[in-house]
Amino acid sequence: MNDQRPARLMLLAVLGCFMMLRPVMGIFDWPGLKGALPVLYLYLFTVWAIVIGLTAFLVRFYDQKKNKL
Amino acid sequence: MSIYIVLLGAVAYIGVLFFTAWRVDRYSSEGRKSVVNNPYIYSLSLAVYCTAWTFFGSVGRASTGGLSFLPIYLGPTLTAPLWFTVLRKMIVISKHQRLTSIADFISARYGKSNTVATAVTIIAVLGIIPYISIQLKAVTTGIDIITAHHYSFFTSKAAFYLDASFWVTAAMIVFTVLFGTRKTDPNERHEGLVAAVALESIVKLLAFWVIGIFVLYYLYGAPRDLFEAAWQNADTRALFSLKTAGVSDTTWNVLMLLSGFAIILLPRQFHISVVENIHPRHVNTAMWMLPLYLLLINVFVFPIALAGKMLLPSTVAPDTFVLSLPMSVNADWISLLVFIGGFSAATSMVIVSSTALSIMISNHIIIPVLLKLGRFRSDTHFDGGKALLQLRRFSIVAVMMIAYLYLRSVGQGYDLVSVGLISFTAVAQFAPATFAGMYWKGGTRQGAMAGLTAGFVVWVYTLPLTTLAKAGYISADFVQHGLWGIHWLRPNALFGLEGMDAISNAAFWSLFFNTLLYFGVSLFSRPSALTLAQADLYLNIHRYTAGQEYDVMRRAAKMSDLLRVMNRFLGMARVDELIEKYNQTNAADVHRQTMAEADLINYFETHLSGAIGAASARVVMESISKEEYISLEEVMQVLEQTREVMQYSRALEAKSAELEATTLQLTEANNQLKALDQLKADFITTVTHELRTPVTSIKSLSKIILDYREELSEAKLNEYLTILVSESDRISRLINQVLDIEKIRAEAHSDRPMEPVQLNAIIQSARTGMEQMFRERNIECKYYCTAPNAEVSGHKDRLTQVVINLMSNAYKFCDQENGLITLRLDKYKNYLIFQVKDNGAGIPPDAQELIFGQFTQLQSGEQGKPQGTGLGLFITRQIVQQHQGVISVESRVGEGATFKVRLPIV
Repeated sequence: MNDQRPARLMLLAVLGCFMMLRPVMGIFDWPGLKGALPVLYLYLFTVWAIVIGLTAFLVRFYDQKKNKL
Repeated sequence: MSIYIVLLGAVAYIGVLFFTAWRVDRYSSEGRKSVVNNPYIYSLSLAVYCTAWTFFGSVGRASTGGLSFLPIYLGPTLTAPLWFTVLRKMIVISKHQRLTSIADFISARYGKSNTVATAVTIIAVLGIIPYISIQLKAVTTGIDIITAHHYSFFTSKAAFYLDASFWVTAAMIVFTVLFGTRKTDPNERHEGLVAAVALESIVKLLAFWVIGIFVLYYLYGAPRDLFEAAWQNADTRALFSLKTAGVSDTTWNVLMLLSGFAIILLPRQFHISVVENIHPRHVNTAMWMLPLYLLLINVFVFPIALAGKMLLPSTVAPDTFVLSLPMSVNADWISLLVFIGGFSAATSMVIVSSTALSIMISNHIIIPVLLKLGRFRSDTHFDGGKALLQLRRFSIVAVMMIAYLYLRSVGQGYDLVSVGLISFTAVAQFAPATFAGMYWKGGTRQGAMAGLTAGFVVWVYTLPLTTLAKAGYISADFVQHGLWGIHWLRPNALFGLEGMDAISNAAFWSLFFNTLLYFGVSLFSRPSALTLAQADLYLNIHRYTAGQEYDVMRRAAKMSDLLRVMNRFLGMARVDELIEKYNQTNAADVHRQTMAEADLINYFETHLSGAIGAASARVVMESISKEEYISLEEVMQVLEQTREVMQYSRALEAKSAELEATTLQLTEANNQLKALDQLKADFITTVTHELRTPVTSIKSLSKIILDYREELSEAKLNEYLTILVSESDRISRLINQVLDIEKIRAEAHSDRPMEPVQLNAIIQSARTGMEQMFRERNIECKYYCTAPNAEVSGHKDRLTQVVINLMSNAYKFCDQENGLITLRLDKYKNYLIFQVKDNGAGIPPDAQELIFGQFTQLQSGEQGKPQGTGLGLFITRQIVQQHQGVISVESRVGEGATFKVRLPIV
């Protein structure tokens, strides 16, 4: 069976770069508080956590399926 | 706090580390499964990425540039998904070739060139020295702050022995020598070191969380309070956004790129992630766990920076906020813990970096020189293993001393992050040669050298030289006005590119020229045979690890020479062990041979590479073996053969695809069979049910007759007996038909020959046979035939069955009083059409297709109980289909029905 993980992970990297690099990340770059936290701080750490979660998910996803087969 | 407590804490901490390393080493030398053979330990050890820069410097950077410290950790996070492909490939290549450093990795790709290895080593050493110097600085400053600036010792610039940073350096040298050069490992693996580094990662994260929570909850009550206070303060409010903090878009993106490279290309990262890796699978965990670690250690950086800026006087250096904050409220024990955290961040970096650099220096600079001098040729007593260790130690001392000198002369004037980024930019120069080398076959040694040199020159000019100028060691004129007064050669605005910070400017131009020359020169130079072979290996490593290897070098050496050299470098015991292994796998007896063959030489060279690097190993082997590199044409030939093998394997793949298709067909057939089986089961259920009804009535009637024979009237008895007869008839009819179906099905699969049959004759005889029945019910049966002699191909008995079935069907359903059945036989094109028309009640349109199914009987109020078994038409259709014919029905309710059978004429 073809391992789709490298391509999926690459897509994730591209998407992550899109979200975290200028200019897109600049959309959230303004001084202000959201809840109790600075807006940019909140944005970057949230996207960061999402990328980590997705990486873990994508890397393991296939393993589990394989074990089942 | 007293300096003695601090020193005691540091020494105790180092003691714990040593104990851990020693235990782990002993544990695995006892032959048990290695403790560090664990994806989580691997991921933690990779966090050696977080140094004093992270621990102290990030807060410093955040206090002036807001969140601009973050790209250093976001870059690795964003490239982490690619490690699955890239890093794992690097690991597999390195394990296969026994590569032990980034210099080894790059030089092996370009024909195991010693020039490339030396160039990479020089860039790495010069590049990392500023980085090591900031660790020394951080530890020294840390002690100074925690002892409340009590000792002038820490600010002294007089003699080196009065300078605390010198003693810090000396201590670091001792740690590194003890951790990194206790023994030579054939694969440069230091399990104890890895375990210690992983432990340090836990300590520094814990320490940072303690100070983070201390600041947020002790100094300010809650995060909300801190951020709102910062929001009210004009100074700190500017840090909330990068724009107001004055960080440009380019800086952000460039830092992201540099750190994405650094996480793999930094010598210490390469050492931990590739050389010390035990299984490529561990990368899968590190891909998310290291980014998670980076996230956790950075959560509190920004709040601490804000707090430091608001609470501490402006004279306090931002790089020391982490320590100054607890000190300012006399939280001594927290300060000590924070110091230990920073200390662990610095020591892990220094130990791993200098170990990695010492491997590179001794393998790629010192050994080649010694080889040239012929030191290994003479028959003097020389213990390779011991000498290697000495070389390593010497290299470590050299690197650390240069770092110390850099700190003393230049580093004091800069903050930690600025100096660290100089190192990142240097290391990024490896990127084109490394990554293009893994995925592009065209890269040549000349291209790699050109790229590395260009990048290095631009880097030296734009970064280290300007720091030296700023420190006053060289004239600062060129920084202001450009070299030789040429305006566009100003290092911070090279080629007139203004508006970028120094790092972005340097990174942009150095990587630009590096990449351009790498590809440009590669395209205009011819790769050597060995480069071509190595390129093939790097690109298609998975083919090689599957066991398929081909000789690149045809060479032979005297066995005595070979063994002498191997004993020198690897030691007798190890060589014997290797020979034993070789004998076993190749069914050979090495000691009996006088000449060593290419196979054995390659085998030893690979293992020697593990000890002294690929390039040096090649030189050593060259010195004892008569070798002729096979020509480019021959390599091409070998590669051609490989291609053929690949084609063959592709053919095999096609075959296996075919097999897969067949399997699919089989599965389908199986499914069909299953469906048929289900059908059969249904059929049997229905048949049984159909049988049970008449049997039940026969049984109950017989019982009545048996029990009440006397009482029953003659008429009643007759009636019952008639029913018994008709029900028995029904059973036997049903059984016959079921048997028929089975027979027909069997026939469909047998090859009983078809024969020409005159349909007309069959109809005639059937009509004669049924005449009596028709007459009894006063039914008129007409027959028109326009094709008396036409023949169809088929089985006569089966076709008779069709005719009789249709006629008896018409008989059953035609009008009760004036029954009329019309038969027709006509020729139409190449077909014979046989029609049976009755004048009964007709068939409702929605039932017209159903009646050909199994056990479908039309219920109609007038006719009451259905008369057939429900199998007649089903059988008829089966037979017709078997004869390539079609059967259909046309009918309107109240106007009778016409069954048409169309059969092909012979």
